[in-house]
Formats: sequence, structure tokens, C-alpha cells
Amino acid sequence: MGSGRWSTDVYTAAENFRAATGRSAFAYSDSGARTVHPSLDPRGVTVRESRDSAEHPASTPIAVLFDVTGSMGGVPRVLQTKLPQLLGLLLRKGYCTDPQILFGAVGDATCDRVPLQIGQFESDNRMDDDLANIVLEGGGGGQKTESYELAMYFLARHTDTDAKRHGRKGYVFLIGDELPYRSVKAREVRDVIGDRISEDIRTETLVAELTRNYHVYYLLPAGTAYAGDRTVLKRWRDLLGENVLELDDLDAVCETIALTIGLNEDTTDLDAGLADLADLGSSAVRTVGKALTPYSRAVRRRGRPVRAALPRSRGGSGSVRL
Amino acid sequence: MTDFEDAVHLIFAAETITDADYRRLRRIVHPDAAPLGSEGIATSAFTRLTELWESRIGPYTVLGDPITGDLADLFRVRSAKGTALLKVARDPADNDLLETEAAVLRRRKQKPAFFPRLFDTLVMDDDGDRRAANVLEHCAGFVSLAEVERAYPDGLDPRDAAWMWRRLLVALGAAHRAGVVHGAVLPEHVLIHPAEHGLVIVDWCYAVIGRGPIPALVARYRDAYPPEVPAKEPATPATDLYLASGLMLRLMGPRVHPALRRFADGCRLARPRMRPQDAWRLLAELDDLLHRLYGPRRFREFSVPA
Repeated sequence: MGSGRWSTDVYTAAENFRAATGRSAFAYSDSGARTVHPSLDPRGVTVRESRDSAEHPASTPIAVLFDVTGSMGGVPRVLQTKLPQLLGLLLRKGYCTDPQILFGAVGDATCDRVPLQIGQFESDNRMDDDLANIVLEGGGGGQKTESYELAMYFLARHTDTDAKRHGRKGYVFLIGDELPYRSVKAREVRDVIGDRISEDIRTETLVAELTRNYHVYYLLPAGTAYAGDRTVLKRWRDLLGENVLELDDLDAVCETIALTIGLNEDTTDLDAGLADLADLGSSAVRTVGKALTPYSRAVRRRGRPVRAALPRSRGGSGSVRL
Repeated sequence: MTDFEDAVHLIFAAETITDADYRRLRRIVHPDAAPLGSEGIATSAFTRLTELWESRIGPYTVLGDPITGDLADLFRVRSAKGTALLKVARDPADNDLLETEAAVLRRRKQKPAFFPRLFDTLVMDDDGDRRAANVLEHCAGFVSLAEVERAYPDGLDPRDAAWMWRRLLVALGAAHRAGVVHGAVLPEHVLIHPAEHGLVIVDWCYAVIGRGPIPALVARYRDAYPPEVPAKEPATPATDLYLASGLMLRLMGPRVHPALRRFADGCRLARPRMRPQDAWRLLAELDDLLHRLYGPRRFREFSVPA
């Protein structure tokens, strides 16, 4: 996956077509579908791949998964209209090299019909098709917990990226308002994904596994049932540290994601990034600035990529991975 | 001396260079600007200055060739704050292990005894390949137990091994209390200060924070690991105690006292649950045993012949 070129024209044309025909952007869901679209079904998937190619020699895999359960209110629909802008924004601003974006959705494996939907890493209009095919659950268990850990399990064990081979991490953005379960259940993994694992895996262990290859973020938007909820924020901060961002204005979701990537890739700093946004005529400058100020400090503390051609002694790793 | 002579002298004496000095000296010794008849010396000074500049990585200047570790190359570096060790993953696939080390040492920041200090973390970008690097305290005057082993091929006197064992247990106890299992208590990873009987545990790349399996093992020492490590079962303090006891047996070799051998064997049972779980309690047991074998503790001079 991940070949092809983003064509704004074709995207705009598709958008216009939808508007003209009165079709909802969530056409699949709104046509009454209550099962996962075949293109988004995680069951039996070996890997979702993000590959380098002549066209995209330094791919940056980016997975954006959002909670589609009832507690999110109208948020999933807004995300659906905003997220198609993400690729274009990243390309225009050059915040990362060769972005390849996977969209997906998270529900609740204990009670939902569609607990996990997961597209492919794409760099063209197909990512927009994936978005359109996402089923909106609207359910959820009402216990402040969704199956984010199942999504993390999939991303940790069923994605393969060329970026990894170059020591470059991809990005995972989870957008939601609830807690993950304490562990991923072997039974749910079997039912939803089809893997047979011998025992449940603690969510902490999954986060550790996933962060080997991805920078993992949690975005808690305003306008959701648990926006600003202390318990939710604390749990995610325990899991992801400073990579938990509160988002006041949903309209700014793409800008927040893009700038987070830019800060982390050291392709921009917060002031320059916010100035970029203002130049684009974005109304999100203030809310993005607020969401990202603590994070940009954390990035500065962590150190930035330094260009260096150090001699490397011969032989690879003397360690054996377990 | 003229400015030019001054600059040449400075350049050949310097091991590192600051931004400001580089810019200033570059103007003075540029071959086009050199005093008549000094073009030769200007060219070599200019070359040397360029070398100094290119051996810099961020704020650090690399001094000399790397030391090869199991998964990383170690460079001695100098910055405005002094010398340190720059540890760079050889294979980008091991970046996560360097990140683990940084995370562990950041946790240990408040109590740096027994652990090297972490000064900085970097990501080296070499033409798109990114390798994680940690800037660590250079433990001057310390030697590794691998070197001790080489210096004492017939085994260490158990009374010398005793203080190393004791301090190793204290250090592991501190790590365990902080919720960290080292996961690779091996000869190269335990450094001692022979004269002062100091001990530092290095290479926290294989560590586990909280609960979970050890991510990788050092291939050369495959046989030294307890069964839960290759079985990918969660590591516990008992994992470190198994490795530490094995390391001590290895150091004493044939000179081990039978009672100490039995003691170590009791820490090396196959099932983690059947081993001791608490390094500090084990230390009390070891102290009892040492007292019975050798009487009250006395400081013994120790040195490692080069």
C-alpha cells in the first residue's frame, strides 16, 4: 500500500459529487450498514504495510483511529469531514517526509457489533474511501471504557513499516474520550482479529510494544462525554506521558496532528508552526497553541535529530530479540 | 606572537572547538588570507580546524575511535560541561533499547549512586537512518567485571568477590525498589572501582520497567540467563538475582568456597518463584554467611593489574 499521489482535484471532485447527490460522507454507515466494511475488517489481516517506493522513498506511517461510540456525540462526524485535510496539510507544510495515512475506528469489543475498523496506509484518495466506509457505532457500554487496547494490539502486531528499518518511528493518534481496558483479552483478539494468543496482555505491555515503532498520542476532544475528565486523562498520562493532548476545538484536529508531527520531526517549532496556521487562515491557532505548548517543551527536553555521520563498527546487533 | 601564529598554535593544541572559536579561527587561518610564505602551515591548520569541526555532534566533540559494545558503539565525547560517553545504537532496530535505558536512568536521576548519570539523549540522523543515542556519565577509574575476570583467570579470592557481591545486591535492590529489573547482569555491565570498592551497574538497555518480559538477550551470554528470559515470561527481581549469583560464581571460579557455591545455587533455581525475591533481604543472608565464614568485615585492598 501507499503508492499513488494525493490529488486535491480528485478529492474535491468526489466531495462535490457527494454534495450534488446528497450522499452523506458516511455513506456506508448511513445506508444502514451495521457490520464492518470488508475493506476495514481486521479479521484475518496479516499486516497493513507502509512501504518506501521510488515515489515515496522515506515513508512516514501515520495511523489515526477515532472512537465511534455514543459518548463521542457528534465528534466522529466532524472528524470525518476534517481528517481528509490531514494529508494535504502535511504535504504542503513539509512537516514529515512521504506521509502514508491509515484511518480506523475504535468501539467496544464487549458489546459493540463493530469494535475495530482499520484501513490501509495510503497516500492517495483511498484513505478518504476508508473514512467514508467507517461504521458509526453510536453504542458503547456506558462504563467509560472502550477497546483502545485492541486497536493497539492490531497496530503493534499487524503493521509493518519500512520506516522501522531506518530507525524512524511512525505515528499513532487515538482520538477518544474514554479509558482503555486494563488488558486485551485473548478471546476478543481471537473473535475480532483471528489471532490465537495464550493469555490476556496487559495494556501497559501493549503500549511498550507499540511505542517501539510508533510515537503514540491520545487526543481528548471537547464536546465529548468525558472531555476534561480527570480519571481518563490520568490513566492515559500514566500510559503515554506527555503525549496526551486536550483539544478544545474539534475543527483544529488536523492542525493539531500535523503540528505534533512537525514538532516531533523537528521540521518546525511551535511558533513557526502556529504562524504557518495563521497564514493558512486557520481559526485554530489559539487552540492548537494551547494544546501543544506543554508538548513542545517535552520535545525540546527529549532532544532533536542531529545530523551526524559517525563511523559504525562492523557487525550488527549482538543481541537476540525475544 | 601574531594573530596567525596564535591561531595555528590554538588549533593544533585543541581537542574540541566552540562555534565562536571556529568562526574566528577559520577567518585567520584561511589559506587565502595567510601571511605570505605561510600558505603551507595555513592549509594544514585549516584542515585540522575542519576536522575538529566535523567531529562535532550537536554540542559534543567526538574524541577517538569507538568502543564496540553488544548493540551500541561508545564514543568518548567532550562538551562544554566535560567529558562523557556517547552511546549510539549500531542498528536502528535497537533504538527502542536505548530509549529504555534513557527511561530507566531518568527515573534513577534522584539517586545516582550505583547507576551512571544520563546527561542527554540524541537522535543521530545519518542520511535518513535514525539511530538513538544516550549521553552518559563516563565512570572514570572504574573497570568492568569482564576485565577483572581477565586479570584473575584462576578465579577471584571469595573475600574480594564478597564486597562486589554485597554492593551488587544493594544496587539491584535500589533498582527493584524503583520498579526496574536490569535484565542483563553480566560481566561487562557491572563496573567496579577497585581502590574505593565502588560499584556501578551500566547498560540498562535490556531493562524492564514495571512488569513484562525482557526484550532481548546478549547472544554471547545466552547460557547465563535463567529459563524465564528465553521463554519470554515476565522478568522479576529473581531474574536479576539469578544472573548476579551466576556472575559471582563465574568470577570466583575454582576458588569459590563450597558454602558460597551453595548460597549461589539457592539463587539459581529454575523456577523464579523458588528463588529469593528481594535483593536487600538476600544481602542480609549473605552477610550472615560471610560473617560465619570470614568473621567481622575488614577492608581488603584490591587492584586490577592492567
